[in-house]
Amino acid sequence: MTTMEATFEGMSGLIVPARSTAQSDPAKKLDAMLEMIREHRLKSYVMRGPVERVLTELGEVCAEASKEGWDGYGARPLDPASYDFAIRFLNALPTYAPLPEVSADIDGEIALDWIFGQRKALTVSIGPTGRCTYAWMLGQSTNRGTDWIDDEIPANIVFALGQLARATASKQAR
Amino acid sequence: MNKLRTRPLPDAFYPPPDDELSVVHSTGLPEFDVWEIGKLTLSTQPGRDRILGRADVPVKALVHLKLRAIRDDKPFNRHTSVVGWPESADPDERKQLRKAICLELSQDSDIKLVIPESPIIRSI
Repeated sequence: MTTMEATFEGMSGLIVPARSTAQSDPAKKLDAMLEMIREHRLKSYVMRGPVERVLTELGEVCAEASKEGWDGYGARPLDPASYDFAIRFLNALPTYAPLPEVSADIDGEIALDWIFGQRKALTVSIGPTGRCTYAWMLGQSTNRGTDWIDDEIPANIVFALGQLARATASKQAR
Repeated sequence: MNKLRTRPLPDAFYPPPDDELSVVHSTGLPEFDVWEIGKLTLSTQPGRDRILGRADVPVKALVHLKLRAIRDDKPFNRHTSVVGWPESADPDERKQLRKAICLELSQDSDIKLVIPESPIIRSI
C-alpha cells in the first residue's frame, strides 16, 4: 500500500494536452481554452510542486554525472542537450501520470523510470537529439521502441503510461 | 534503486562501454564479506563514495535472458563479468534491446535488493 501511495505522489487525474486536429474557428477557440485551463492548473502549487521536485532531482543528477567516468567505469558525461529535452519531457507529462525516478545513463543520456508495481514498469532514455528509447512491461508482455520528442511526448510513451496507470488503478479498485 | 528502496532501477544493470558488467560472485560468502568486496569498488568521487544497497542476482536470471556470468577474478578475487549483451547494427535497436533486458532484471522477483543497516563507506 505504501508503495502505491508514494509512487503515485504526482498523480492528479486531470487533463492531458489537447490533440485535436480540427480546423474550424470554434474548434481552435476550444483548443486554446482547454490549453489555458491546462496551463493554469499546471502552474498551481498542487500540480507544480511534484514536477518542481523532479526537476530539482534532475539538476542534481546532471551535476553528479557531468564529468567523464562519473560512474567509475568510463561513463560519458551527461549531455546538456539530453538534460534540456528531459526538462521538456517532464513539463509535458500528462497530468494523470505519476512522476518518474530520474538517473543518468552511462552513454550521457537521461533515464526516467516508472515502477507501478510488480512487472508494471516503464523505462525511457532521452538523448541529445530528443530521441526517446523506451521499454515497458505489463505482466508477461514487454514492448520497446524509439521515438522523438517534438512539441509533445511521443504518443507510444503516453500510451504506455496510460496502460500502466489503468492496470494499476483497476488492481487497486478490486 | 528506486526511492522506496524496493527494487533496483533498470540502469543498475546497463553494461558499460566495454559490454562487461562488473559483478561479484557472492555464492557462499557471508554477508560481511560481500560488503567488504563492495568496498573495493568505492572511490572519493561523488556518487561512488558509498554503497546504499546491492542486488543479489541468481545466475539463472541471467541465463534466462541469454546473458553469461564469467568469473575472471580481475581486478579482485571473485570479480565476475556479465557478458552476452544483444548486439545490433542499429544503435537505437541495440539500446532498446538492452534496456528491455535491464527492465526484466529490475523486475525479476528472484533478484533481491539488499539494503545495509547504514551505507557502506570506504575504509580509510
